[in-house]
Amino acid sequence: MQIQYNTQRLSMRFFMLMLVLFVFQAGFGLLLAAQQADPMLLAGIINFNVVRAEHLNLGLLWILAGFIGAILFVGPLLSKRELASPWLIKFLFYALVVTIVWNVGTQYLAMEGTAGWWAGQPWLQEGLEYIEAGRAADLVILIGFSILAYVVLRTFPPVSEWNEIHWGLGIGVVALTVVWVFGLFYIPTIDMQEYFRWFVVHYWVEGVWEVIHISLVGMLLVLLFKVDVKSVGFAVFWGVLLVWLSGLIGNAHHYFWIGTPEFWQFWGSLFSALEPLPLIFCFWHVYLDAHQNRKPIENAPAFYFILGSVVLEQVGAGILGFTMTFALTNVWSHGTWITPAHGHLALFGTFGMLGIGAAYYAVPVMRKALDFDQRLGKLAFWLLFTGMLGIALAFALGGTVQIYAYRTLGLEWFGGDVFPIMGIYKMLVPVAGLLFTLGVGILVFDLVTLGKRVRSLAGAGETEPLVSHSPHGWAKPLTGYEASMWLTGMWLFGAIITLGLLSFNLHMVRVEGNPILPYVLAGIGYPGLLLITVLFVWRFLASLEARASAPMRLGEAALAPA
Amino acid sequence: MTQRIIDGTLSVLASIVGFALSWPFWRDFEYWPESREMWWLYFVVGFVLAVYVFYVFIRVTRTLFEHDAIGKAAARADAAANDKAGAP
Amino acid sequence: MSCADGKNCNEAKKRRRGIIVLGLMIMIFIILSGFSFLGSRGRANPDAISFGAHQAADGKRVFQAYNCMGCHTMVGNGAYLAPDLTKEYTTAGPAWLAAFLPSAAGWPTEAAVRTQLTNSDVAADAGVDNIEDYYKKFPGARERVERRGGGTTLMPNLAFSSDEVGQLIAFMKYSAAMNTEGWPPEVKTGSLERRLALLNGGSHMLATATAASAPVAEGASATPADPVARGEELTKEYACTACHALDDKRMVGPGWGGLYGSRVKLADGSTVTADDTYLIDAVIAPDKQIVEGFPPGVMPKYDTLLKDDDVKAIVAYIKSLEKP
Repeated sequence: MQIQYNTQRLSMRFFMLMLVLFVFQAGFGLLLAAQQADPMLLAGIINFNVVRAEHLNLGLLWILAGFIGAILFVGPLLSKRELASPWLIKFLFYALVVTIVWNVGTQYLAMEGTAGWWAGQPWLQEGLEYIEAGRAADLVILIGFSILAYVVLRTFPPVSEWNEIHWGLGIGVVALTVVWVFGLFYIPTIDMQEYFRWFVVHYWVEGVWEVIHISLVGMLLVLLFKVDVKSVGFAVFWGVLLVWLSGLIGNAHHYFWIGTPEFWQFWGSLFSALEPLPLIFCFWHVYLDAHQNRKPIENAPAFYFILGSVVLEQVGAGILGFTMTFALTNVWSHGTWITPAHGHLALFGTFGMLGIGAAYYAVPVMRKALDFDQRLGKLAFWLLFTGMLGIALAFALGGTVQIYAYRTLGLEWFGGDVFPIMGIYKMLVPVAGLLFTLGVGILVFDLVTLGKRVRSLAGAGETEPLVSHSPHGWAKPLTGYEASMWLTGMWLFGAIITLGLLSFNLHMVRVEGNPILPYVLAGIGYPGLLLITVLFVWRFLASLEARASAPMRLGEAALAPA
Repeated sequence: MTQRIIDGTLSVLASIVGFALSWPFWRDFEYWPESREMWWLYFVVGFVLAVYVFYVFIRVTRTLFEHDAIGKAAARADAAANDKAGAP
Repeated sequence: MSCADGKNCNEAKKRRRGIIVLGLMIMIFIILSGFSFLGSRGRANPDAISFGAHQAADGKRVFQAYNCMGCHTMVGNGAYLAPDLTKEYTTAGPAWLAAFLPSAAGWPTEAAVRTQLTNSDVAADAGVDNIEDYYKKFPGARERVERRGGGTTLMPNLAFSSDEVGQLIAFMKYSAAMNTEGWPPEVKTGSLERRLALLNGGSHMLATATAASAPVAEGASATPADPVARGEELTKEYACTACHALDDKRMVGPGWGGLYGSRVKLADGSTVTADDTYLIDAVIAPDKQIVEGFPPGVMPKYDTLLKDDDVKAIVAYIKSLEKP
């Protein structure tokens, strides 16, 4: 595999930008974790709310940078021609950098309460979760999205020649722009402001990013495993349609308690309960494509991160999202640490890992370093993966005791009752965060210097002696049956977590104040779910790794020209 | 046909579970689009749509496996042909 | 490719049907959204809610400008570090909030809440004018004063102007008026003592109870003759240090260290010496002379709350504080 179109190289700068922003975002995250443990840390110098705004904004921005890089890389391949207007892409890059620097700076103004009101709009910073950027930055971002949509659509072949991946990416980039518009107005009432804020946040994630995600995963699978484009097209179409069939009304799970009518509780619960279906579908799609032939994977880190993306989508977005999506469970989990457990796994897992996976695929190709040392990439994957699971575990368990103290017992933070009881979990977040940050460091070092380092003679494991015995035990080929057992296991733990949250409604907990049942169920459910996730990914990757040494008659045969 | 009945039954069962978990036990009918009549309408329409989405999910996931089988069979046929051709 | 070989599986038709169902869902979503914001629902309206002269609609802009959602939650959305503010007005009431917000780093004492109740706007908004009735109406305020009063909080002091404080209170009055459909769930686990015991076991409950009652008893029994000691005690009781530093640092108000006898520049351009008369005036009628760089109307008038001797004791205490 080598570069076919020169403009694909434009993706490199976006991948590098992604890495830089990731470092800063992880740094801010570590500071947040420390401030959770000691709220007086840096108070008055840089307050928690400013750090959090930076953490969220940079998180969204680096994911977007990764998406843009991936889209620019596959765009020419999909269109079989160079990107249209490369100068616009260069302009987009510099505009993005300037906007990010500007936005990081203006968030600090929240310390002294300056929003930059002019013509009824906050121009410098807005103070709304996820869309903290002020109107000035918002407008530049809108222009940036329009440029992206324009370039992608101009590069694509005529609509009559589009396959499903074209449709997915095309609709994705246009919808990215359209949905952003809902965040561009100041709304004077809380309920309507939240209603439209979730238009941006939920429909971005569930409606747009998910679509881009499915299309990009499909495309990367075509590239990595040479899968048949038509069968991927089927998966992309129905994946996207299922996402919308469930996620469109599923957005109503944000409308339970914001002052909107109670009929949303029914609609939101029922349809967001269906939201994991496309994720399960996407999971099988990846499983089957990765096992279609028995070829060894050439680029392990790229596939590691794509697998991580699909699995954490299943666990973070699918299972943890499912557990807290019913009005009956959400009434307890809403506004507690249960939410960031889901948010971290879903957002970083699904979208962050996809961007990193795409970078691992594209960067070696662009640097002509296909035989790069893959060990650092694998190590970074395991650190990021387990680090993030650790963070989620700390949030989930902390959130469970928080529900009990804050909601069941109605003891407010004011009394200093909630902080002490959450103490141990507040310490766990930075500990897992350190593991994660270490992973970030290794990842960034590896991707930045990939192809530029002096390669050690030991090489990338390809020089391992070829053992031709069939792999067995932990590394034996993963069958569909076994994979479905793993998946069922994850969902069983998900069911236990759901029951745990439901049990807060019981008379025993709610009136008698006995937390034993929710504690036990959460104590089994969360660690169990995260443990089985680690084991499954380990097993999946072991079975793929073993291909390198397995006899690969079938694979070679399939590759041979007919 | 049997396939459809099984898929349909599975979808209905799954939707009933989702439905039970989504039942708003504390509703108070205080606003007219929350009146009893409207609630019945919501339940019926919501349930039918949920069954449809579930049914689609089962069907397309099965098709995914069928594609896989086709792909594998094709690869096997290729391999067989190659073995025969490649034999000295 | 659609399905297995040799079967006609009407893939195009199925895709079309799926898209039609999606269209139906979009319609349902739009209709339900319309119902949500119809006038007939009688949603709380920020334009119609005010606190004194302050509008809830302005408060919302202040709330966003300080990015309050970056630590707190509002209708459950936000950052989970600090308490949810949706029903804060119903719990603690306007006087407690007015005592708390100007110097959020310290928990208001009962004296500080009582001071706010002397403000006619606050009393009118609370609907009561004495602390006993206030506690009855806003039980959260009593709980906080008794358990935490005079201690330090985990919230940084923010430089709210007095207008901004009023606007924020109006905004929280609005959020408390919203119908959030049963969230946060009603607490059914009984009295505060029982709930604390459930959380920490019985021992902790006793500890807090004694800790809360101890300083009150001490203050009531012994009145030291030494005015400086008495002033120090009053300073604690009225939580003066929530706004004034004991050194020369600027917090909400000017620092006290080395203040006595120094030259103070006033907002009208004149300069005065901080002697007894000036300082007594600054306590009982603070808006008479405003120090340059500080907004008027932030400090409450203590003329009805403190006896003359008490004011003198506080001034004596200020006099004893030296610049570090």
